[in-house]
Amino acid sequence: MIEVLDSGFYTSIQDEGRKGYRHLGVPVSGAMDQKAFELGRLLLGRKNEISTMECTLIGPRLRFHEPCNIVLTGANMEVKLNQKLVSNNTILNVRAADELSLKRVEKGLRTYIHINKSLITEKVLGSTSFYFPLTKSSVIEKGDHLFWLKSESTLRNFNSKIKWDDSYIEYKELSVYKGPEFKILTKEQAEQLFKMPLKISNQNRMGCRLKSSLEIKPDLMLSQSIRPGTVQLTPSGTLLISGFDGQVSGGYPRILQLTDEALNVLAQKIEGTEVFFKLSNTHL
Amino acid sequence: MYTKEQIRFSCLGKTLILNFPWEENNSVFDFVLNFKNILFIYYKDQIEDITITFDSINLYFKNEYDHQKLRTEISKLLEDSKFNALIDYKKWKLPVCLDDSSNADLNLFFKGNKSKVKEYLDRFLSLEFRLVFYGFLPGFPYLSGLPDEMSIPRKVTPNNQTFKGSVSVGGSQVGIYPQNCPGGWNVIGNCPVPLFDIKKEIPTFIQAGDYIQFFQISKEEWIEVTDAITKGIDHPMLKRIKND
Repeated sequence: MIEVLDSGFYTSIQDEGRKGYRHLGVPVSGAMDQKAFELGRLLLGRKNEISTMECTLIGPRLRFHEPCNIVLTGANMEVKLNQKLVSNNTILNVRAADELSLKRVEKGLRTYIHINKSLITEKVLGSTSFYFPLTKSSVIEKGDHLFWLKSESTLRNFNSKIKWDDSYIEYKELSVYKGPEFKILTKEQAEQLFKMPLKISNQNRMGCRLKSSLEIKPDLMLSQSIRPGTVQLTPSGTLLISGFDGQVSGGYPRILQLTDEALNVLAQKIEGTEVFFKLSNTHL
Repeated sequence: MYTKEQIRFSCLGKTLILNFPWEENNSVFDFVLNFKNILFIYYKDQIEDITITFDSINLYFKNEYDHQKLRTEISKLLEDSKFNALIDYKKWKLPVCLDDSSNADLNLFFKGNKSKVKEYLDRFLSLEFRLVFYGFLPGFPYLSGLPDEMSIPRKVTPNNQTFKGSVSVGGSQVGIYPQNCPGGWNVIGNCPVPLFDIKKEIPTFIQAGDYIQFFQISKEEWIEVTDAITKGIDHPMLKRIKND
């Protein structure tokens, strides 16, 4: 069992997501940084019996009442296991009564805590990913007791540290494809779009906003389907980038689509960071 | 209905989009629904989802795909498929409370002119809508069937709180809010029957393609039905919903 001593800024449980329900208006949810999510699964090696917490900006403080193994991936926060500093991408041995505490993020935005246990939480439409109001809450809260299913869990590569390239966390470039409505931009605007630094604001699981100087005529477009990483441009020049809890449809021109890799990069960008768009040379 | 030349293909990463020239016309929409079913069956193992909007079909592929090959395949499917216009779509009647407390936005739009508000609502009740798709939020239905002259532009500044059940108009689209949330559409009434119930195996009882007409209820009836639904007990009005 895990006792939540402190919830952190925004900590939620995420799994592979709620795929196959977009036609009901249900967003996919799941980890914002899929690369860090996958790495945790890889390190712990038992895909079906792993639970993952996504921690944003400031991580939680947790007391483990039973032994287990955990691994942290993604952003770098100052992490202590019983007052002793521990690092990311390493399998940690947690004993009963151990306390894990994560502080404010030092590099990146989102840290993932992977636990080699199946936490017993609400499963809605095939997924345990938190998404209010489908699930009762959008975050874990102080005082929560998270129980897990009892299982024998032995790890093959205990204490092994995998060499892993985390440099994407600090990339400034977001690789993109042209979107269906890219053509509404003038030649000058299109050039400008790939030159200007864009500052991130309102960064959350729904998506984020980038302010640009591009102005377009308001258009009474019919609502269209969008997905995580779709970049819509509003008449006032705000670029809206959908996240994993973002709406499944939108009414503004879809000028770009982030690559899967760029979604991971963006998931690690703190508000105020500047990024650039770069046209992907791989073709889809 | 459509020829392959009329489809506009585009993509959003692993989503392949087919856009059609939209007309507010039932047979056009029947075609979109039909063709969506054909594509769903054909690509079942390769996609994680398929959605439609007013004028598009969207295939969410699991993996990267060969765009050219798919275009050719889909164009051929379009040419070879037999379209069946006789799919049995259901007709539903939904209660709506139209009292002053439920339609403040409409009052504002008509600058407090009561007779214009009444005229608008009377006509609204005479219309038959069609559920095109769910989007925006879980269980938010987009309905077509509002005549152009009845369209009301979306608000410049969204409401802080639009209440659950709000029947609202955004441009020429009609929608029903499944939960309390900020909203930019003009609220004209409130439907006490939730269209989306996560506890049910199929959370929506009205499917894309189904027809909807609203019937007026009083504030007292609205309170009664809301109360019955909250308590999970039956109410005679709920029997009027389905009309086949």
